[in-house]
Amino acid sequence: MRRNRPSRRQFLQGLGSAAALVPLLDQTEASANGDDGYPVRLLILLQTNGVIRQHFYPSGDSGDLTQRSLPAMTEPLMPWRDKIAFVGDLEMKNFTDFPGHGAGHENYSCTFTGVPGYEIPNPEPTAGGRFTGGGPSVDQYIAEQLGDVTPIRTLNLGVRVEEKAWYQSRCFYTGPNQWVTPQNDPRQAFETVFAGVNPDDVNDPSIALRAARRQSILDHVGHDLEAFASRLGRDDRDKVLAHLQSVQELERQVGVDNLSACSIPMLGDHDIEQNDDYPQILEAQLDVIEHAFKCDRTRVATVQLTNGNGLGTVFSWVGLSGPGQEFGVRDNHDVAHRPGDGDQDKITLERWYMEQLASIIARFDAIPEGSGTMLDNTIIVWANHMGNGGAHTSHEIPWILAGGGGGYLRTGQYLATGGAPTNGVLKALCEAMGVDPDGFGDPAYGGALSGLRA
Amino acid sequence: MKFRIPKLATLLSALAGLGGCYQGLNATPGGEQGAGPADGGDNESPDPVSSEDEVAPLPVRRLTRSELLFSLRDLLGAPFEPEATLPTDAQGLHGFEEGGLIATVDARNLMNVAEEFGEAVTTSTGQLVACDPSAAACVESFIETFGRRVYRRHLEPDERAELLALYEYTRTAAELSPEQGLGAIAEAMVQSPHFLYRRELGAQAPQAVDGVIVLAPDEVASRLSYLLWSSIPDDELFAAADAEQLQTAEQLEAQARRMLDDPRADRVFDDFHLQWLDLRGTSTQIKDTNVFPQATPELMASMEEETRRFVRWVLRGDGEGTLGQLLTASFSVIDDRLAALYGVEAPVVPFSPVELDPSQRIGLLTQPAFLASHAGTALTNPAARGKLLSERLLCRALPPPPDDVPELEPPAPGSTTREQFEEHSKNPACRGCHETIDPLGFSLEHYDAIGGFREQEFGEPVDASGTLTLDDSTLTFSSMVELAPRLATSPTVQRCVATQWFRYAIGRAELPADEGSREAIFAAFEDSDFDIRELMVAIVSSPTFRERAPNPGEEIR
Repeated sequence: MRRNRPSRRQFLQGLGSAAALVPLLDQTEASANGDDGYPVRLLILLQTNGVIRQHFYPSGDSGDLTQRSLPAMTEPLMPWRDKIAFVGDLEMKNFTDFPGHGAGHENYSCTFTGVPGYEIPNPEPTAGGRFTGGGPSVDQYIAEQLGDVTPIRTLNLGVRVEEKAWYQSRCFYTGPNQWVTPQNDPRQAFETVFAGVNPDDVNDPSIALRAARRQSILDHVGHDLEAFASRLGRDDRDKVLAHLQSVQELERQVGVDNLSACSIPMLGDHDIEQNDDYPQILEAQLDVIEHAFKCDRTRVATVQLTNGNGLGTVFSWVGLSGPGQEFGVRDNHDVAHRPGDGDQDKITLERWYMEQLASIIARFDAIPEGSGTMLDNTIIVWANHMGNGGAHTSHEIPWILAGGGGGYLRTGQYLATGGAPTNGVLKALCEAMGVDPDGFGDPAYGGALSGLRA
Repeated sequence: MKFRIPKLATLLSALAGLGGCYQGLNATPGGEQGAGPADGGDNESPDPVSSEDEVAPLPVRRLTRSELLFSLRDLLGAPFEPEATLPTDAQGLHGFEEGGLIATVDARNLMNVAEEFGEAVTTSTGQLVACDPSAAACVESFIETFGRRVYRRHLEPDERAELLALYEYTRTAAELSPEQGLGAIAEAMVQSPHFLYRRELGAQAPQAVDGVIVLAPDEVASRLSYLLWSSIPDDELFAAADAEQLQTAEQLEAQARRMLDDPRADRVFDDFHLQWLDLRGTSTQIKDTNVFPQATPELMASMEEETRRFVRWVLRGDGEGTLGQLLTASFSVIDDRLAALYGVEAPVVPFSPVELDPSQRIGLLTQPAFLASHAGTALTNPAARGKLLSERLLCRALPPPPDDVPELEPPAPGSTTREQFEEHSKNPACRGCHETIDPLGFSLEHYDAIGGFREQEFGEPVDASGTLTLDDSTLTFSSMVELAPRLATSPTVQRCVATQWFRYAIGRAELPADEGSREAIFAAFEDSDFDIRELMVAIVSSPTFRERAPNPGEEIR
């Protein structure tokens, strides 16, 4: 006979809901403390199809950024220059060092793993490219190291990410070829973080009963999975154990114990199928993340901005539309290859994204935490998996890091790395989050990029 | 008898497909000269080891989205349209969809689907049990009878006890009514690996004799039902499993013929053909309506429906059931929207067979679903069409494009799509592959991006001619209308189609140990004048269908 045991629930219930107001419930696990004991959080956003250097990079060499002007694409970040570290000329070495690596779209799955891609033994190239992620991505690695400090280990969201799982649509992995499916629907993200709590009645008793039913059933399913897995061959067993891990994570997520301390975001109106609703969908996803960070439901969140090709997403809200100049429609991909007269279309597109980044920074900076703000205890990573947009390169990649990372990050600087591996940044993120970077990525690419440390 | 578990390198090279078609990149990982897929179209590479008495391992498969949905519906015996998203499918290494890895989001989606299913069970308790669900005996009988259909095998005593305990616990802890309690049991059952994964074993580990595991009767029943119906077995199949009547090739053949006559077989005919030619996105494709004002969502949906109806008509209706008819029929099964696209009179009854102009249309490959799916929004994409045909009809795999594809110059104004694409063949880095895929793709240049027939593009006459090396000879053709009959009778294509069905049926790429089965399957296919249903019956009757080797690390008696 199996026990239906809500062990973690009892633990948290014992603390009482007011305990949730204090973000740090348990400091026995590895984690970093930010200012005044607030946890450090990580938000990663991934854009696709690269940039155009002269419109995106600061001019000059490494050094202070706060006195420099930023060009047309990154100009919206001007008010926040003291809060960002602009990292230039990164190279995705874990991809480019691999013979026959292919062009830019192929690198998408390798962006955050720091190891060579998992090579697909594949008789049918329609099934995908040569690689998928070769190991855990940095978000999953950090979450694994942190353990169950929060109900949700990582919140992996997306906006218009292709549903089909392949190397151009998945960039976060728990292990080799084991991708993380992003949630494209803010309502589902909301359900994940706030367990279906009714914003008008956070203490609705039916919510707790539903959570009890869900947890008992998932507990039962978990036991079945464990028993079933133990009898299978190795490869099958790995898959079923990954399934088990997901069910265990879900069992934690459906609990509602300390939710009453959370403020609940209001999701705006949008249709996730509609291209033109892209800004509203992104806004809603970021809103969910902001509230999840605020009441410590998770410390690690990611957003895939479309996928590794941007096909079919047309930036109509900034006036880009119509037939493509090289491909079918004037989507993100077409604009990368044919940036328009004076690169104006590509500038318009990237500038809009930088406005969104500036807006996230501002929102996080508006949330007081101790003597500072949530921005001080967060690192926001704005990543691209390509450098030059038109040539789809895997070098010359710019990443922008914003926020203090609990005092870890040296902001207000431009760091021209001259071709440093992206691993250096990924390992710095590990350090900022208080986990050992040595277990992450291929050691051949060295340690954390020292210039990022404050 | 002997068996061998293939070494990883052999497996990888077997899966890796065939040598690269352009120089400079070895498409086979590690450069290993392993045995390729045994037929491999033109690249026949017989396994050096005799494989007559070998069996291959068989990975456990998770139900795909469509299998999950059909199973849930058949369990309820009622319509079931969950609002929740179903868990993600993955593209299997064998080229067909398989149940993907269950990430947390998928587990959540599955939970949501299971909750809707549980509610459906709760509201239809009256149909599912003929007793009072507050009585323990009633709950036990529900667990036993419903569980037998969900797990596709009889439940073990401790499994029944655990489900009963779950019922009792949730009734108290979650304040459920007796009917809701049964719903909770169903909710747990359909999230269980015993439902979601295909390995229908009870308490006992499988027994291997001389390295061969003969599948249990319940496993064979499920293999039959999922291959032929995309769903759970019916009562007759369950009864045959209980009576151990699923052991000989003859018994399996008789079941397969019965099941192929059932309308549920349409699910598989649809699914295979839409996956094989990659047509599943047809109905949601968006075309440039400035160029094609008629390309409404309704027309796109009709295209996909046409191909389904055509395939069903050929395979289960009044058709010949053959590969030849699929590839060379001069008719299709259309509605009024498609009639306008084809330029023929609309049938009185929508989706009825209609004769088409034989100088313009021939079989599946000139149907709008195929042509529109593998084209741009306004222009055709001969490379996409050719690549798909190369891989799926000739089983000629292509490596990915070279590392740094040079940017092509924008096309000269007024140049045809063919002229633009021919640029690829001039570049030495690209030529190797494009020499294979271009002739196939260009042969369809008479069909625009929504599959309409055209004699001209941008005022220039369309050139759909080409030459193609096939079965060691060189074919010259003026267009697909000439090429399709050659494809339909080509041994390379016939073998490739048998290979595709084999992969679909077994759920993995072929291995050297499958060769004996595959030769027998192909011989039966050939003897039947390439009848697809006979091919399916032959697969079901082959040893590969009811025997397997242990998987490395598996618990064996």
